[in-house]
Amino acid sequence: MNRFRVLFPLAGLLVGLTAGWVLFPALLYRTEEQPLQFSHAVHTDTGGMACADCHSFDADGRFVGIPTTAQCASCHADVMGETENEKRFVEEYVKTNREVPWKVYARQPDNAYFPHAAHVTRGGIACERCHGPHGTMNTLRPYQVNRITGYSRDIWGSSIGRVGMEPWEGMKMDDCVRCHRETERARACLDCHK
Amino acid sequence: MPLTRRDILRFAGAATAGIVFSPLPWKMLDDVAIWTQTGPWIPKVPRGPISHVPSICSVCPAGCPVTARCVAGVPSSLRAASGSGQPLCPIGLTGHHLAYHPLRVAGPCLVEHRGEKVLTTSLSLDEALRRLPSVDGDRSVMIVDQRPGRAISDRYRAFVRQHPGSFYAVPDDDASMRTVGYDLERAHTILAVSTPLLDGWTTPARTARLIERRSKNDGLRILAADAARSRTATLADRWMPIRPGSEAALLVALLHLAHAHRQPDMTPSMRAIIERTTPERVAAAIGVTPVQLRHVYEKLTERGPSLVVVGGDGSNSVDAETDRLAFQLNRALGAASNGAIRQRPAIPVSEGLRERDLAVATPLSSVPDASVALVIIDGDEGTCHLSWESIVRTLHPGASIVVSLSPVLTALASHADLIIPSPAPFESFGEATGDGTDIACRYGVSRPLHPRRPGSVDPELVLGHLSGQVIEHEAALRDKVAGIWASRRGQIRTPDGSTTNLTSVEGAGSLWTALSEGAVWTLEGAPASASVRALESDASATDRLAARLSELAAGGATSTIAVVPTTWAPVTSCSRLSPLMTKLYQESGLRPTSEVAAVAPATAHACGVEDGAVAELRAGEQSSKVKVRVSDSLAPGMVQLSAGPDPVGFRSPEPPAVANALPRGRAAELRKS
Repeated sequence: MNRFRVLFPLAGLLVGLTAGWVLFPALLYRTEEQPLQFSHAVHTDTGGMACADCHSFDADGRFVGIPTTAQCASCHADVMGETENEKRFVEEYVKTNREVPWKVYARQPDNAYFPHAAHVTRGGIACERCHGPHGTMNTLRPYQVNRITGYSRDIWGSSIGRVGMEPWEGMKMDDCVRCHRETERARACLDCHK
Repeated sequence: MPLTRRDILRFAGAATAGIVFSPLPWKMLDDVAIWTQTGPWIPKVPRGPISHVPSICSVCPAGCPVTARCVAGVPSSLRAASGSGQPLCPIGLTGHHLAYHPLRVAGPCLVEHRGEKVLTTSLSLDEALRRLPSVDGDRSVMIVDQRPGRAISDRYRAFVRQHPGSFYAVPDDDASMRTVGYDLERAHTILAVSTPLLDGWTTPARTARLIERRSKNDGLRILAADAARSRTATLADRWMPIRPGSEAALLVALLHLAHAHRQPDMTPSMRAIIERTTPERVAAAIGVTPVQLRHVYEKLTERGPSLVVVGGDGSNSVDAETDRLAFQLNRALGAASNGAIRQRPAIPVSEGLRERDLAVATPLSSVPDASVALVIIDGDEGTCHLSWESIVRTLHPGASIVVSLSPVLTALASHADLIIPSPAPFESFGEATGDGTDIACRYGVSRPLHPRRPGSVDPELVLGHLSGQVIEHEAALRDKVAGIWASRRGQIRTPDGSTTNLTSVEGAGSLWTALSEGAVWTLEGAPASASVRALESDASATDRLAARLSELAAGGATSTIAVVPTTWAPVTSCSRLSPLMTKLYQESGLRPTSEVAAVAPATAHACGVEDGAVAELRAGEQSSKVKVRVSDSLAPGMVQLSAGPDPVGFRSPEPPAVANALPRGRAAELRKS
């Protein structure tokens, strides 16, 4: 009889652990599809383009992020390939001069200031160091948004426990500080929180 | 096996332990912390294309050229225009924050006082306008213009002219400051009498030039006569500590040394005062020695052009008599003839209006008591000193109504009966009419950068309701610009630093385009001799001066402590300062508010108060709780604190604290609370 009673705390522990490690992340994140599919691989492999060809810096050195429709239209004014996504892009966005409402995996909170120029141009850090194999993927991953904060899951990283992550995963302050510490860079509060 | 309560508790306890050993609580802490920074109540930073918009800063009349960095069309920062070579002050740098000021008034509202609380009740615009009484022969109106010289000012003046018995009133210090400007760049010796010459008195550009000249050691000599060792006194070549309230005596003594009483155009009574006010007679009352007075005079005459500047920064200006004395002394030092002081020209009136059809500005103190039924207070008290007492005494004892057009709930607006808020800076076209200390008059137009908040109303609409002649705000400004263009005088300076004579501008439309893209129209003043008549003291002023000098010489107040009001307009009136800067100033102590009283160590010891202690400052019937800050920048027997209409700003509006009612040198007591 007492042996069965031992199972109650064990079952409780199992339920608690399952709730924390499995159920919670499943509930915390909401999956959203990108408005269009986009193949980085076609552009980087077949097209032979570099990241900076589209994700460039403007005249005053500011990183412009995702290219505008007008930039894309310099090549895609008309449909070049055969994919349905490209056709939709040209019809719905290029010809109507609308911006694609991309969901940005790496968008930082408003109170964090991240200058690409200091890291890429001056620091010489490769894009893959923070964005991983994003530039070689054939499709866009589903965008997972944190229901509480409203930010992308990529900020925290794929693992809810932040264990076993790839070096490029995670864009939390801890990740920034760790890299700055490893490379012996300055890490004052006002560097990132203006 | 029956399920017991203990089993359930074991299960729940173990489940809780399991959760603790999972990321759930720690991740929740992290996410909730971020959520508090991203909730719907937090303004979101816009994202989008970046543009740089040339404009001017219209937060104060100086009109410094700025470049607004806009993200998705919303200004994110202001900086000095690169071609202007002028720095920006902290007010201008954060001017785009003012549209988000926590004291913004959302729309027309009635104001009601319940105890110390101020309650506002929203009204529709139609309802608010219906509450304005009609202006006729029996009901006179007083329009208080806190920023004279603008397009709407011309309309106000025309309206008042058409309604006899009404007044177009301006703050007293404003009327006097706008008569004569100082050519600081020309001067080699400057005596700043209780004036923060290097600390916000004039525009940042002129201050920067003075400091640059000092650093280059090009012969500029600055003398400071101030009761406290102010920032200006610290940077000056010589600081002469004087008793607060003795500025007039100091100037008369210097006039005596300049033999001004021998000038032929001096009135006999003034000549008599100057002749008998020898340094020996008043030195003790001023708090200096006769030798020091003679030394200062020698320095003034040693290397000219020399200038004597008086007056605070708009919130703490000296009285009109002292201002006139300074003018007389400048004239005696030759500043009028060598161009160091000049008469500031007036900005031409709007097209379609004639100067002779406009009412003359009346200093607020000259408006008779109990004479008006409707008071319209234009703007907020951000750049001048206007107390509620100076308004309320003019109200007719019967049915009278005070309407504030302030975009924020300032101290003055909180006393009004009705608020019809005007747009905040950079929400509509703004105007800058030039720094009152400058020798030139200026006119500039700032472009709207923010989307306009619903509920704000252009003053032109309120005036149009009273006069029956409605004009759009932008149309009124275009008329003003057309009036300037028609004068064919002056020149425009574009943001890149180039200048063009107005005669070369093709038409009023071209001038409007240039001004709305950041150019500023400038017209330099004429030699000041022409304005001598306007500044000469009349008989009553001379009598008041004589009485003051006698009182000072007799020992003045019997109290042990004299108040030294110090102020910097944005601190005394929060409406023109970003809350960010208010917080910075208050927490750092860089610009103490009226809640902080600075006293000398000896005075603190004598009064039994310590640094940081809360004490009661009493002057006559009024008293105020202050936090004591012991400072050796003050001479014993003085207490220094900020003065102004609303020194703290974020407190609930209440009757003015003791500091607001204290003239310079007022006797007071300080004791432990």
